[in-house]
Amino acid sequence: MKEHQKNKSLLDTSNIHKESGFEVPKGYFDHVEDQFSINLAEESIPDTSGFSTPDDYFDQLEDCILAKVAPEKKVKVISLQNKLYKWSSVAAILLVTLSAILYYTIPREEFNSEEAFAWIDNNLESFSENDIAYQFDEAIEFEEVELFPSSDGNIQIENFLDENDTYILIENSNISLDQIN
Amino acid sequence: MVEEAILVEQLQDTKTKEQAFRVLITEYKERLYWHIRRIVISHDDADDVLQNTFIKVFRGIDNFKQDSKLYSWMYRIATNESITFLNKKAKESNVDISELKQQMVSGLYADNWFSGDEIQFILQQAIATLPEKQQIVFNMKYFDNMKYDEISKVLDTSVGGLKASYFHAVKKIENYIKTKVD
Repeated sequence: MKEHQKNKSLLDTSNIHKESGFEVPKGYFDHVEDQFSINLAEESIPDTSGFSTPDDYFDQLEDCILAKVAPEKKVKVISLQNKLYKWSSVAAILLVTLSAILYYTIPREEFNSEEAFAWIDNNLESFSENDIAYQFDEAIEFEEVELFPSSDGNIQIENFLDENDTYILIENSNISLDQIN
Repeated sequence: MVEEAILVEQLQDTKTKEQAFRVLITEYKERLYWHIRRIVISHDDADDVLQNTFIKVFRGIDNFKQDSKLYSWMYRIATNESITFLNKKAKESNVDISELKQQMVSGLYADNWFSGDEIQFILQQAIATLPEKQQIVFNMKYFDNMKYDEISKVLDTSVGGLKASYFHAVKKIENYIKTKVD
């Protein structure tokens, strides 16, 4: 093949198209004009919006947002409050039970309050759950109730009281402000 | 960057949720802020909407099923929060949303957090003249450089529809700028 014939063959775009193996999305050439028109129009539009922010705005965002989602823990606080009710109930039950035991086990003439408290302190550990439960008609599920709050629990209660303002505490306790004022 | 699937897993685990959420905020705060800011205009409003967006993400992450990408889901929340915010503000001011937008843009020169020049001010005026959806499509495509299929997942609109919206938006903005500058 002569050189000029060879070049002619190479420049024949129909051959290139058929042999290159490349393809374009369907309808691609229908939008070339539009795309070109958009590109031209975009050149007349500024690249940036001109908006700015305070210098350290983004540095503080994590802490700021996490502080706002922290009240989610309020839900736990409510359950903690429920635990308080449980503990109060158990304390009341214990008091009544121990008083009843004392009433029947300590001779009347020897009974006085100081001795009673000393006796409770000395003998508290000797009472089994069954001894206490025996004093009640209804069965008590002791496994469900934590008799003595852990130190962790105490810390949670203290935190709860410290972190919530008085009005929130009053609101959660179902006591009306009128009752207090 | 933590792989998205791992991050979602950590976000849905109570033990790791808070730490993972900090990572999530760090990763997306700027992109979401600028997306919101271009819709609501003012920095203070953008800050409020951004924080509400992240709070909604925090509360809703347990129900996120990974049917879509995390960023698409978050962009969708941010967009909805921004539009809801504007609607509420318009209602409070007793004007429609396009009038509100024009008012907000008019106040930009007095805004401490707008450092744009005259052409950027005109650009904001031009954007405010567009229908709401065209504004959002323009901002996402032009400023955020998002691909049409990404925008499609956020706005739940066909790629063809988005291309048409963007085309009309760009042409209108070009014409607006020409008439103001000439």
